[in-house]
Amino acid sequence: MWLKRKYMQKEELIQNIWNDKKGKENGRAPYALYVALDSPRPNLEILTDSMFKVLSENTYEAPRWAETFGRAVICVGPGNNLECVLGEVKDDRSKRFVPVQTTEILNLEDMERLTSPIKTGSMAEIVLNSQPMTIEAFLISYVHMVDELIWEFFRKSFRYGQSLKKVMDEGFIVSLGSEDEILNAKMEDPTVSVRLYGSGVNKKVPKVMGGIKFKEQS
Amino acid sequence: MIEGGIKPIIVTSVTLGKELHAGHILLLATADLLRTGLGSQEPITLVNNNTGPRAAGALVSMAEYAELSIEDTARLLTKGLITHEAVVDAYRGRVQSEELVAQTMTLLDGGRYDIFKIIADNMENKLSRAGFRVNIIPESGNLMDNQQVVEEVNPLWSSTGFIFSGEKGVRVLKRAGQLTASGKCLISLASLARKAIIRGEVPLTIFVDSAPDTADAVTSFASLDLGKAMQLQGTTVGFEGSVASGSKGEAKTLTELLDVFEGKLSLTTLKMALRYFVLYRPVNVPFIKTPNLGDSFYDFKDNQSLLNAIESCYGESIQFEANMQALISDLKSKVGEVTFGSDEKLNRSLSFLPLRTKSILETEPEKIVGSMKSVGWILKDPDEIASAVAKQGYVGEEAERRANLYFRGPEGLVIRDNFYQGTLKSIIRVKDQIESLSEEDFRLYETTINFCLERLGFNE
Repeated sequence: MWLKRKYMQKEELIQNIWNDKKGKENGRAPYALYVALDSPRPNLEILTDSMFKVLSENTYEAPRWAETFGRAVICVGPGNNLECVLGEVKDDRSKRFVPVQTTEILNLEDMERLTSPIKTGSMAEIVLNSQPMTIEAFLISYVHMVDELIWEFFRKSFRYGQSLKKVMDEGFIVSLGSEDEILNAKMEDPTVSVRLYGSGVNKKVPKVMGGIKFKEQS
Repeated sequence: MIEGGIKPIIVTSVTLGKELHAGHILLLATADLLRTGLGSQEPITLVNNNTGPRAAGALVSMAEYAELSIEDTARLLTKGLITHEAVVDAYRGRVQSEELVAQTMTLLDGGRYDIFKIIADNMENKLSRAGFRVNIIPESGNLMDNQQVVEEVNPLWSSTGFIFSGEKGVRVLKRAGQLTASGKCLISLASLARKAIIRGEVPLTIFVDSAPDTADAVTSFASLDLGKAMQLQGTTVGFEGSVASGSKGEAKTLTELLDVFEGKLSLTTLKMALRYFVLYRPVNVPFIKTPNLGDSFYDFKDNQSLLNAIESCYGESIQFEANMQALISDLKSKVGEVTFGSDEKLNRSLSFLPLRTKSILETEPEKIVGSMKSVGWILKDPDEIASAVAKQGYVGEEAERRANLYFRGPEGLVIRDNFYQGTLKSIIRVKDQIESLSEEDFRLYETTINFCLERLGFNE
């Protein structure tokens, strides 16, 4: 009985999170963030810097990318470099990126090693879902959570560039937690921002990708 | 083995879920022309694609029909216990269900089953009757023995289930744990090259096929330390301006070709006719301004016109050989004290004859492959085009319309290049201007002509 109630609560919470679109638009996403990998264990710090760089350089495209739920394509590109490129989905140039489809499942240790470079920020803690998943599922979750963090500030300031700069300047840390831990944190503190994976394109991405615990409110 | 210890390995691939047809046979004729061009005595290797989605679809269909499990059906097929006709029926009516086909592909990728064995055996026998020496090997066997080679292409991504080659762009060899067509093609190439290396040879592996997967595999091959690989684009058959296919009309099968030729000509002459066909019959290219043999096909009005052309090629090949003997006699009649021609330019050129002969006899294999990859002749003259269109079986207004199309573009007719055919042409071009030949220079010409004929397969 207790378990059932707990389950119902969880489902209700997920439904509520799902219903709150936070000002984003469903429908066709014109842009995608192509995350080109140089290895199956990319350096998350370099990847994050590249993501910030591309979002800050594309002042028109970046907010439009974010408001359509920030589609992320984990891929390999011709130069075999670790880089992020914000491109139009329909642009032929985007075809140079080939989506990665691995089967190797990362364990907790792998994920801890991947997130270890992101430990110095002060504004928020991104808790990524720690369930076993592929590298591309993990990176989709990570990119979406960073996008979510920027978006949370954008919702208050309505200035994407400023919000991005704040995240870049103040930074964040990344930790790992189970789905229950993330949802429990949300139940305890409604300001925790939880991001769900709605597209279902990649079957290995967890439904609850992660949560953001804010260390300060601006 | 040719000069320098290089061992050419000529390979092509077909899904033998049904009989070989005229398009495949012309692909083999192209491969055979390459084989003689490289002076190889080895049989052509034909990889039977028995593991891809089409093979999986056929296996599922067969299992459903026979009310057997997929594994039991695969086992019976591997033992050749299901009839040729039943296999062809299953292949033609293959199941398209994505999930079931994907599961079955995983089973076939394991390499334990050779589900098209009965057709492969039948085809090997019939190809031999047609004069071709072809060794058919199952793709599944290559996968069983050499699957690991794909991981060697990109060790950083090894064991992740996703492997790609970064040579000149991204080429995916394994995706979501399943080998791609390019990956399988690479495994076949590597498997053949590795066997040659074990025998102490230096392999030059040439894949005769136009598919993009082949190009990807050949490019990816460069990252393995297994010698060099090249691609030679094949040419398929079409009718009334479109490539032949199941829905648009199929080209004659090998059995039908043999039936037509049996009694008319000795069977091994079918190969000779087909090789001459590849040398001298024009192919249709969609864009004459940028002709690409990879997109080409031999166009005919119908199957009967194709058969007529093949039959006619046999006669033409006999005539060609006779003409070459006449050329040697003609040159012999010019033997005198010294060599000289009608003008200074020719005399200068004749002074390089010993050097040129040596270079022809020692031409690098890559150059021979390179010549066959390129267009040797574009049909531009309206009469030449009209004659070619007539030989394709078109008459009246249709012939006129097609000739116009080839004359004005964008489509066009071209003939594949061949190094030895080109060499013979250049001798024919100058022979009337040669007034006298020293005995030694005549011998050089005679050697060159006979060498070219041999490399064009006339002495086999």
